[in-house]
Amino acid sequence: MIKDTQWLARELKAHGVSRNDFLKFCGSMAAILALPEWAAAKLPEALAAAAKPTVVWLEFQDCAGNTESFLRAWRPTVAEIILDAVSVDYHETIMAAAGTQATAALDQTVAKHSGEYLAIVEGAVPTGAGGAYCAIGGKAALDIAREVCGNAAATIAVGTCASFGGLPAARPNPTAAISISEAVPAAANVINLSACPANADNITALLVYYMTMKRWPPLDDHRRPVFAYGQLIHDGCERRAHFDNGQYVEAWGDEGHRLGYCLYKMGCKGPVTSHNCPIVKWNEGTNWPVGCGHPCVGCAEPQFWDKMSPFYKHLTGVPGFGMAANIDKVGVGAAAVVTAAFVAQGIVQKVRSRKEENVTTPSHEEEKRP
Amino acid sequence: MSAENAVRAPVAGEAVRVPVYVWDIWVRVIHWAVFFCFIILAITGSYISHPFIPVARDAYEPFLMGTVRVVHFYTAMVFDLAVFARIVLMFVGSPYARWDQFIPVTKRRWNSALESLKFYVFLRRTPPEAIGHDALDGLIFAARFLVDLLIIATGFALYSKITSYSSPLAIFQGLIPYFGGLQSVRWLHHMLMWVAILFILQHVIRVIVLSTVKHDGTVESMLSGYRYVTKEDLAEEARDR
Ligand code: SF4
Ligand code: SF4
Repeated sequence: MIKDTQWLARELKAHGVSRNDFLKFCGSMAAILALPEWAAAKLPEALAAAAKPTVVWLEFQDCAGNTESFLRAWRPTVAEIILDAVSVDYHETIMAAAGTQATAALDQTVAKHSGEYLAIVEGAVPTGAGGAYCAIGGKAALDIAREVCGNAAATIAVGTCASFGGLPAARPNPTAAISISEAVPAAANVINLSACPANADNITALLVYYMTMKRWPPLDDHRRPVFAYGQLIHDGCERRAHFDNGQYVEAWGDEGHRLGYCLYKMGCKGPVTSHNCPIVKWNEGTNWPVGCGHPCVGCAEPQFWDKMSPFYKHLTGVPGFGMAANIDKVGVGAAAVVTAAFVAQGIVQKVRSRKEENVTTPSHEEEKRP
Repeated sequence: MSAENAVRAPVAGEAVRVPVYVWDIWVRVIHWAVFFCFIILAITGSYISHPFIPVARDAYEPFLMGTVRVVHFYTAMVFDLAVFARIVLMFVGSPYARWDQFIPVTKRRWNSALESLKFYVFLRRTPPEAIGHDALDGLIFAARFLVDLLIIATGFALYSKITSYSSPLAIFQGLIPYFGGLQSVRWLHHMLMWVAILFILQHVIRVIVLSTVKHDGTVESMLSGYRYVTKEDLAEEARDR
C-alpha cells in the first residue's frame, strides 16, 4: 500500500472530474454497499484520504470476461481512477509490458509488497497433466497462484471460474480445474465475487469498502460479500409480482413474454440464486438478463453449469434417465409400475386363496354372511 | 363400522378371529392428518413446480401463486407436526404404536418379516398373522419415516431462504450445503414427493389385498381402531409380553 493520501484528489483534478461527479460516485457505492446514512456521508472524505492499494491481476483458465467487465466499469471518470489508477502492477491483458518484462514486474511486486498487495484472480486453476493446461512464462498456474496469492494481503476471486471452478470445472472437468480457494487453501482473506462475469460495480464497491474501512465486508458461506450476495435474485426481481400472480411466459415471444411476465416456467433460476443483478444491473445500469426477457441461469452459484442446466427447464433430469428427463414423467411411470406389480400380486394371491377355500370347504358357497 | 361388517364369518378350517383395539385415537387422527396433508401438499407442490392454471391478463390481483404457496406452507406445518407427533407416539403411545413395531428387535419379528416377504413372491398363500403392524410393513414404514424426515428437511431448507432474515426458521439455511445447493434441494424435495407417492400406492393396495385375503378388517381398522386377530395369535402375543 502506498502511503500517499493525496493521490485521489490529484487524479480527480488531472482527469477534470468535478466534485459533483465524485459525490455521485460515492453515493452509488454507498447504495451498493447498503451503508447506513451516517457512513454514506463520511464516504467521500474517507475515500479521498484512502491509501492506494497495489493490485496484481492474474488470469488463468478464463475468457477474460471479467477483465472486459472491469474495463467497462461505468461512471468511468471516477471508477476508472479507482480501478485503473490503483497500482495495477500486473495485468496481462492491459499492461504494456510483455514477456520477461511482465513476469519481472509481477515478481517485483510480490517481493516488494509481500503481504500488502491485493491479488485479483480470474479463471480456474487446472491441475491435470502436471499443470500443462495453463502455464505462463513456463510456470504452471498452480505454482503462480500459490506464490502470488500466498503472499497477498487478500485474494479476490472474480467470476465463477476463479470462485468455484466454473466452466472449466464443469462435468467432465477434463483439465481437473479447481477454484482459487481450493488451489491455495492457505491464502489469506479469499473473497469470491462469483457470477459470469463478476459485476464491475461489485468489484469497485468491494475495493472502495476495503480502501475506506481497511477491512473486508461480511461474507456468506461461499465467502461472497453479503452486500452483493445476500439476497435471492427472485426477491429483487421486477417480475416478481407476475410470479406471485401466476402469470408466466409459456413460450418465447408469446403474449406473456411481450408483456414482461415472470420467466419461471422458462427455467428461471432466480429463486435459487443469490446476487444483486436486479438492483445493480449491468452495462452502466442499463438492464439485466431477466429485465430483457431472458431467465436467470444462476451463474453466481457454485457448479452452476452442472446444477442449473438445462437452463431453460425448471428442474434437472433424473439420474439414469438423462439430463432432459422430466422428473414427473419418470414419477408417473414408477407409480404405474408399482401399482401394476402390487395389484397383480394381490389378484394372483386372492385367486389362489379362493381356490384353496373351495378345496377345503366345498360347501363354502352356501355359507351366509352373518 | 361395526364388527359384523368388517369381517365375514370364518369358513371351515379357518381360524376364529376376535376384535382387538390396535389403533388408538391418536394413531388414527395422525394417520388421516398425514394423508390429507400429503394430498394437499402434492397438489399445491405440483402447481408450484409447474404452474398449470392460466391467469388472465386483466385478472384483478389474482395472487394465485402467492396463495398456493401460503397454503403449501401452512399445510406443511400441520404435516410436520403430525409426523413429529407420530414419532413421539413411538415412545409414549400404545404397544402397537411403539418404535419396535417398525424396527424389528426380536428374532420372531425378523422371521415374521421374512415370512411376509414370502407372501409377496408367492411362496406363501397368506401373509403371517400380526396384531399390530406386520413386521415387513413396519420396516417399510421405517423407510417411509426417513423419506418424510428428508421431505421435511428439504422443505425447511427451501423455506429458510424465503423467510425473513430475522425468522428463527432462517437457521435451516445451514442445511443447504449438505444437500448440494439450493437447486439440488429443490430437485430432492420434488423427487421425494414421488417416492412418498410410491409408498402410499403400495400401502393402499397391500392393505386392501391383506384385508381380502385374511379377512381381518385391516382397511376398516384405520377408522374403527379394531382389527380381527386369530385367538392363537393373541395367546402367543400374551405369552411374549
Ligand atoms: S423472472 Fe425469475 S427471478 Fe423474476 S420473479 Fe420470475 S422466477 Fe423470480
Ligand atoms: S441474472 Fe442470474 S444468470 Fe444473469 S448475471 Fe445475474 S445471477 Fe447471473
